[in-house]
Amino acid sequence: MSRLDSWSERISRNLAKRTSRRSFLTRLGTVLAGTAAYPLLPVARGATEVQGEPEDPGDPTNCNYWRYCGMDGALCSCCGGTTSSCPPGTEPSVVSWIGTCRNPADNKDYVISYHDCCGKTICPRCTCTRNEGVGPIYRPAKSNEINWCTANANMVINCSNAAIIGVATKPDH
Amino acid sequence: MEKKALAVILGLLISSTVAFAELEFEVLTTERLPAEPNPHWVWVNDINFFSLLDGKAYLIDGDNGRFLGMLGLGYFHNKIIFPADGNVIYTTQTYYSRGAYGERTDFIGIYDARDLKPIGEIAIPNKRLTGIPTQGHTAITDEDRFILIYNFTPAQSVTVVDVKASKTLGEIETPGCSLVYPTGSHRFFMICGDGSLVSLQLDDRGREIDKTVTKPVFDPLEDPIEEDGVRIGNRWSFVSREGYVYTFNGGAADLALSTPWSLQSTAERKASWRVGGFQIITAHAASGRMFVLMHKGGKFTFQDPAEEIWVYDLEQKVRLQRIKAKHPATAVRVSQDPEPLLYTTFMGDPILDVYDANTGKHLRTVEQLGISPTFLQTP
Repeated sequence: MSRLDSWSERISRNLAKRTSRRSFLTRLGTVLAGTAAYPLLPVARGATEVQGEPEDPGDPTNCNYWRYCGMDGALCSCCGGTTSSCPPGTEPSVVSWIGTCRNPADNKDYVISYHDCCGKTICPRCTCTRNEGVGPIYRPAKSNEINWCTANANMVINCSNAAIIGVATKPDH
Repeated sequence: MEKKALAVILGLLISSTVAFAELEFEVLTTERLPAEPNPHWVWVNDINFFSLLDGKAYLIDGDNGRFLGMLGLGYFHNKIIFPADGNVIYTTQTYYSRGAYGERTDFIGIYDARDLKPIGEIAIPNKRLTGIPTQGHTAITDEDRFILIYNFTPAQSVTVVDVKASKTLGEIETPGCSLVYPTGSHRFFMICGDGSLVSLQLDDRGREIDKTVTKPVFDPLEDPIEEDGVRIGNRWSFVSREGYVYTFNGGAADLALSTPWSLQSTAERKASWRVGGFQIITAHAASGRMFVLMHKGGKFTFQDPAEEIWVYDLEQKVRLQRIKAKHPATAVRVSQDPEPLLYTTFMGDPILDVYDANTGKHLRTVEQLGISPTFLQTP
């Protein structure tokens, strides 16, 4: 299930619009919190599906992209990397957590490895929180609240990506 | 006419010079917090998401909204640790020698609680969990002797620090179990991935001398409990994502679970009311009330901000009140005095809302509290 928006995207926009903060934030926070679980509106779906490859539809710089169903972080695709590569000068995390997202093109559930890219201070672009299928911190393999750069020589987190590592035979959540 | 006007202006000028004495010259000083903390002080921890290397904590007086002081706390700041005596405060801190790279140093920072200056450090292994802050990342045992730090490298363990001797004593391996919650002198428990809990007893040298693992007490797949709990006496209560309250007896070796109960009525569940945020619950110990962040949303909206704060009597298991949130909220904390204040903040908007916790009346909003406030604490 896609969501109209994620509230961390709202954070970024809120920060950008700080000059007219109060009324804007209250309105946006209240309205979007109430609509967060609604399916993507048809008009928005049309806008995203024209991008990407037919077999891998959507915009990897947009939080609504299908692979980001469990995402929580700054999208590497907005920061000099891609869904499966890290920006220059950073390194992929050696450990990650695993989620399952449905590709709308073939309706298959793909296993997504949510790696972080490590070694530079945080990229300030495209923060995205979706949380679908995400577990608590005490089930680390399903948690997006952990800095997955933890096992790297340098554990400073720069951004997060979402690489396909398999096809799930059944949904895991 | 013009002459008259000039006379009036001159008169005004003369009278204004006469009315005010010359201002005295000033000598610069540094503020110091009063010896007795106000029970309405609240610490707002800011992970500073867009510059994680520079986490911060701000001290606010809830009675008037005044900003009293702050701490700069480094990479992935979690929260502050308060010993009972109130003279010092502790933090877990991580820095790299060249900002984002170079040599990593982890330590416990010791601060004077009055002037907020660093007065010491205790070196700890470079292993602490970094991530979205929760209550269980660190703890201090009831006798204020041991600080416990949950490690994730991804091997899971707990660092035990003796604050009396100012040194790290060692590490306890805790495979499969996470986070630390104090339950007594030298005692704490952890939450395990299969829905069980493990209770650990330390000796005077910080070594594990007893360990009790419970059966699974909740379903970690279908309805996991949220990481932040509330403690009244030695009873720890947690809420699950679906809104069930799980209360454990910290005084019992098996952490005896009371029968879980629901926060929402059937109609409220149908209307999609659910818990959400990061620091979702807080309790006022003397009155036994628990405050819960609630919003309307779907299954995976467990971090979405609250529209309302629901108040429960934990003993009677009944709701007492619904408070409409002035602004969206992802963290909540209540002060522990007889006239308590209720505080909320939102990770997406750096403000602090202050309510009268007895009536639910919104009293004030404090603005410009950094970037992404995560966790509220009342010492």
